[in-house]
Amino acid sequence: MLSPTCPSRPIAVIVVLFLSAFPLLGGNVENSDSKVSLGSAWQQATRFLFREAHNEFKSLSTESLEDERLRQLGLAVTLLGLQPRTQGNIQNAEASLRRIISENPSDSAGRFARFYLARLLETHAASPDPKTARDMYYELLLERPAHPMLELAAARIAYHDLYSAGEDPEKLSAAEANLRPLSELLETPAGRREFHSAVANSLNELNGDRSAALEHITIAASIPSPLPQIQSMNILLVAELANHLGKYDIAREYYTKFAKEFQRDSRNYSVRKILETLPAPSTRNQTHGTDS
Amino acid sequence: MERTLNAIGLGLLALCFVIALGRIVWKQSERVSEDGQQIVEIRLAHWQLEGGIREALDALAAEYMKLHPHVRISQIPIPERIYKNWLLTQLVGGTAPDIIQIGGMGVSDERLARFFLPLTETAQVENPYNKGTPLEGLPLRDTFFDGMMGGFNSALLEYYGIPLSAYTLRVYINMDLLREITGSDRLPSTYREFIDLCNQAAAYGEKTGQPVIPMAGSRYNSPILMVSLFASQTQRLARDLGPPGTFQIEGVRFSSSFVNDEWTLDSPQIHSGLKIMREVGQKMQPGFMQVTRDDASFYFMQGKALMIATGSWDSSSISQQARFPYRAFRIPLPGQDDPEFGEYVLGFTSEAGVNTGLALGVTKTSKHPDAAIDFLLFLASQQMNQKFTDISGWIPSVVGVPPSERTTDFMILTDGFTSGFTLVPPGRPDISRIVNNAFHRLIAPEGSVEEFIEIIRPNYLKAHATDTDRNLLGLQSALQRMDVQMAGTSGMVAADPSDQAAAHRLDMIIASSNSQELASNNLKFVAEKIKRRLQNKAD
Repeated sequence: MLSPTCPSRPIAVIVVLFLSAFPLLGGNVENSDSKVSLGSAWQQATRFLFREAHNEFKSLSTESLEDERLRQLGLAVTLLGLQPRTQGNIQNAEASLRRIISENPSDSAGRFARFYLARLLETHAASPDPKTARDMYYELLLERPAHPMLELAAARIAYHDLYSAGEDPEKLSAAEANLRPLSELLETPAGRREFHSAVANSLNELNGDRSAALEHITIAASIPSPLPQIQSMNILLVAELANHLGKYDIAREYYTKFAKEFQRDSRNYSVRKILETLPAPSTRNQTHGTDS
Repeated sequence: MERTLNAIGLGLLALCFVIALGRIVWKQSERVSEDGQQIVEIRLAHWQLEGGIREALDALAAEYMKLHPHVRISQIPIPERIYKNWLLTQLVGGTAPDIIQIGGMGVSDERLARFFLPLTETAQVENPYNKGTPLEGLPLRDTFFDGMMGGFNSALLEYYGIPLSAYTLRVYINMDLLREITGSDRLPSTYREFIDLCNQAAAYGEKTGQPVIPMAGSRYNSPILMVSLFASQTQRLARDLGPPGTFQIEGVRFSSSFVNDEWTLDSPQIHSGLKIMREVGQKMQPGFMQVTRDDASFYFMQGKALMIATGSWDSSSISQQARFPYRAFRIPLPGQDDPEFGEYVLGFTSEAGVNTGLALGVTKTSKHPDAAIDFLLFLASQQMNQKFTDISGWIPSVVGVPPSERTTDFMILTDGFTSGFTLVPPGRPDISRIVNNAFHRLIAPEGSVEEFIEIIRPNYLKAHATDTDRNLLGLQSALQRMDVQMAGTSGMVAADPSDQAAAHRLDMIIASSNSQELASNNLKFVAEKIKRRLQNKAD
């Protein structure tokens, strides 16, 4: 029986009953126990979730010195992606990268830090310093890092040197000649492909030596690119340069390859039309017929 | 008295509690299907309000629910006008539907990464709903005519959507009116035949006293026709410009060729392009650039206009609303034998590069991601894509699905040359503003090509400069983002060297980063060249 002086007991029972009904509402409680590791933090970075990646690197506890250095590298690199971009973050990233390098410039973290410090100076800094970045890339390559990403340093040097030469044919030729030895330092297929592609495309864009461009792009096209749109461009550039140079057998081979492999490319029909007008294999006609 | 009031109060409270509890229990019982399985609710949001699409999706959902009685699928069609705001609110609020149409409309790379599930693994395995068809055993991506590129994000280098259709541009024509005017069913196949038909339509209107608009125009529809016609006049020029390997003038090449004087506003091809735009503009109703898409469609549906240029996406709406038979034909370009516009043309442009569209992605907040993906696989099966095409009248996206009678005119035509360029390529807001502001002087009867050029000339190079600077900033920002992405992928490979998927992804990012770096260097080079040119002019 309810007592007027003590109404709290039944109300408490109702409140308890009421609250006990909440689980029936069907709401899902999210499992916050997600496993954080170097791999998971890096994965966040691959998907543009830089804040999450940075926070994961922060919260990670590592067991080995190697992992700790990679964690420090992750913290520094993700600072470059945080939004809004601030000078403070860029400066902190630079300081962290320099610290990692000073501790050991030659282990895995040290080499990656050197690559990213060069990249920071080249692109991320408020006042870019491409010349110093170029020298840092070069020093890194001399150690033969044998890693596809680190070997992108060669392509970056190529862009720096060739675009600094501009459209002056002599300077361009000299720059291209100076770049050639770099290919000896490259050990991964991707590193070689991207270096030769960079040299060929830069020469082509800047109206440089077409024979040299053909030589470089032929090497690049021989190492398949994982991106079809780039592979198609490489193959087509071989064909087009060869056609311009009167090397019709090469041109025919690569135009044919393009027409066969890239049927869903809007240039396919045009390429087939060019093939129809190429001189017969045995002739050495110099025309560049492409009309329909 | 007080005791009575307390008793009534407590009684009411208890009654409310019992009702609330009853409703909860009833709701719970609703969540169990007849076969005793927990009901799974999947919501699908999209902006395709054109006729036929909702019906097609409803029909496909009904088929799926027959196979999976415990699944309830509902669609949420959202008007295009509010889609971006609606989507952002839902995503940020954590209340987004399970499946959402992606591909522009507010779904940026960052939002895709943050709020949607990558479907790369799904793309690499077989679609179980293709069992017993010629596509059995193929990875999902290979069952689409474009390798599922319509669902691929080239910045994140992952698949995020499963595409159901594709789009092409066509000119629609009222067949009853065509017969009345010409006494024949013959569609125009060249620009000259098209202009002759426009003239015949106007003359027929005058003769009968019921004016016929040859071509319904609007600020939405007219550019579809005019841009293609202008580009036909720069087709040969575009192929001949630039270094070897250049087939089209796009991206940085547009400004570099202009600043290198490879073409100018006085080039005969540019004059010819503007002239053809002016001619076709005069076949549209007066003031068409002030008119909306709906108004232009209305002229056509009412039989007041003979033709309208629009995409294949409007086919289902037109077939539902028009009370006359219609056909659609390829945008009629001048032939090489055209006495006025044939000199600079190569021929019809290829549609081989058209990718799939109407891509649907799965949100990370979905309570039933597996069921949502399974439903998308069902939609993407050969049999269901056929049904989708038959009901909607849209182009199929799956290999081996034949077009329905209604889609035949819209199928992708792969034979054709590369396109020319226009005065306003995509991603050039300042150039676009200058050209659009002067556009009325090109089209107006008292205007002219020469007058239009003189209006845009003083600011055209400056607009190249500002647009190039803006594009360079955008590209550099994308490269900075890619730097961190590349480090992340490299880190994943280092953490697990046996992860082949990560190694492949790293290879893709390296290739993509290098290609962007080339584009960035080109843009920088061109930007400096334009500045020097402007400086010389000022001096």
